[in-house]
Amino acid sequence: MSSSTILVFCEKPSLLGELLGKARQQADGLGWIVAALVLGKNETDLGELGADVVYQCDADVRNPEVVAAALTAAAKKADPGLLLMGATYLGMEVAPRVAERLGSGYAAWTADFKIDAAKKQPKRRHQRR
Amino acid sequence: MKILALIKYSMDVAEIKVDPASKELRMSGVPEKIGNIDKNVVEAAVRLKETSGASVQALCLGPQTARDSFKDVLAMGVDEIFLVADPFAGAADGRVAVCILEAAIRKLGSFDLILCGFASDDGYTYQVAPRLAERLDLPLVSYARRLSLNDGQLQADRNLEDNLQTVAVSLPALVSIAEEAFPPRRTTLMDAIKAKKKPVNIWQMEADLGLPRANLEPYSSFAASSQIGVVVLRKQNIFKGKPAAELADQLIDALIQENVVKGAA
Repeated sequence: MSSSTILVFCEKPSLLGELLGKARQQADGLGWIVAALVLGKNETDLGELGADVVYQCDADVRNPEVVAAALTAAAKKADPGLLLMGATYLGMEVAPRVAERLGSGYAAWTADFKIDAAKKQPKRRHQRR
Repeated sequence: MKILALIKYSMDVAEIKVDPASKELRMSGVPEKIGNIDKNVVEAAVRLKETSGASVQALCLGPQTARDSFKDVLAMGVDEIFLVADPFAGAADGRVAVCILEAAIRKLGSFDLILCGFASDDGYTYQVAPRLAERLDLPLVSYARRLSLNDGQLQADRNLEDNLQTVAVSLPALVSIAEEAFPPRRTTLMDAIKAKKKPVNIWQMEADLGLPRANLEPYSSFAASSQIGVVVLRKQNIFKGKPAAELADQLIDALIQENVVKGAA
C-alpha cells in the first residue's frame, strides 16, 4: 500500500456508505485505492459500496480509546493519503487524537472535499454548525 | 485535590451577521465573552469543589481584554485565573492552541482533574479535549453530563448520540463537559465583592512559557480560504380571514405541497 489510499471508518452504517461513495468517486479520478476499516462484525458487503480493501479488527466501538488505537494501527498499515471519518460523537473525539498521533493535518465538519493530485493536499469546504 | 477549568473567551455567535450580497460572515466587531459552554465547565468545577474541597484554577488562552469578563467566573467560585495572551489573536489552528495550553498546564503543575468544554462556542471543532488528552497522556471522558468523585475515582455519565454511557476513570483525568449539562449558577453581590480579591495572572507565550512562536508556525496545517454563511429565506406565508378549520386545511395543503409533511392532499 502507498499513500495513494483513502482509508474510511465510520461506526454508523448509513454514513459509512456515504463516505465510501465519496471516497470511491475521488479515488477513481486519481487512480487511488479505497480501504475501509471495520471494528467488530462486518455485516455488509463493503465492496459493493466502494471499498477495494477491508480491514477488520475485533474492537469495542463503545470505547473511544480502543477505537483511537485501532485507527492509528490501521493508518500505519494502510498508509493512507486521507483518512475519512464520520463527524459523529465518536468520530469527533477520536479523529483529533489520531491526528495528534500521526502528526497529520485535520479538518472538522467537512461538507465536501476534493483531492488535488498535484498538491496532494485535499481542498475542502468546512462547515460550521 | 486540584481542578483546572479551561475556559474560552469566544465570539458571541448570536451576533455574527451574514453579508447579504457576498454571503461572507462579518466577523469584525462581534462582541466576545466567556462562552456559554465554558460557563458550564466552571459550574461543573465549582460543584466538585463544593463536594470535595478541591481548589479550582482556570486557564484561558485569549486576548488581554478577556480579563474584563473574568469577574463572573471568579464570582462563581473559581479561585484563580491564568490568562495566556494569545499571540495568534484567535486564528491559531486547534493543534497550535493545544500546544500553548499544554505548555501552560505543565508550568502550572499537576492537576487531579482538568475540565473543558466538548467544543467552543465559536470555533466548534471539538478538538481541544481529545488533542490535549493525547499530549498530556491523560484518559479522556468526553461529553460528560454528571460527575461524582469516589476514592480517587471519577464517575461520569457520557451524553452520546442515542444513549447515556456511565464510565469510571482513575485520576488524573481530562473531562469534556456536554452542552448545557451544568447550567451556571447566579452569583450574588457578596460573590462579586469576594471575586475582586482573587488573583488574575497574565502570561506571555514566549516570555513565560518559553514557547517561541516560530516553533508553532509549522504546525498550522489548516488555512481557511473563505467563510460563507448560509442564508435561510423564509416564505412568510400568512393564512388569515377564514374559519380556523379552513385555515388549518390550507396550512396542511401548503405543508404537503412543500414536502414538509407527507400525506394525501
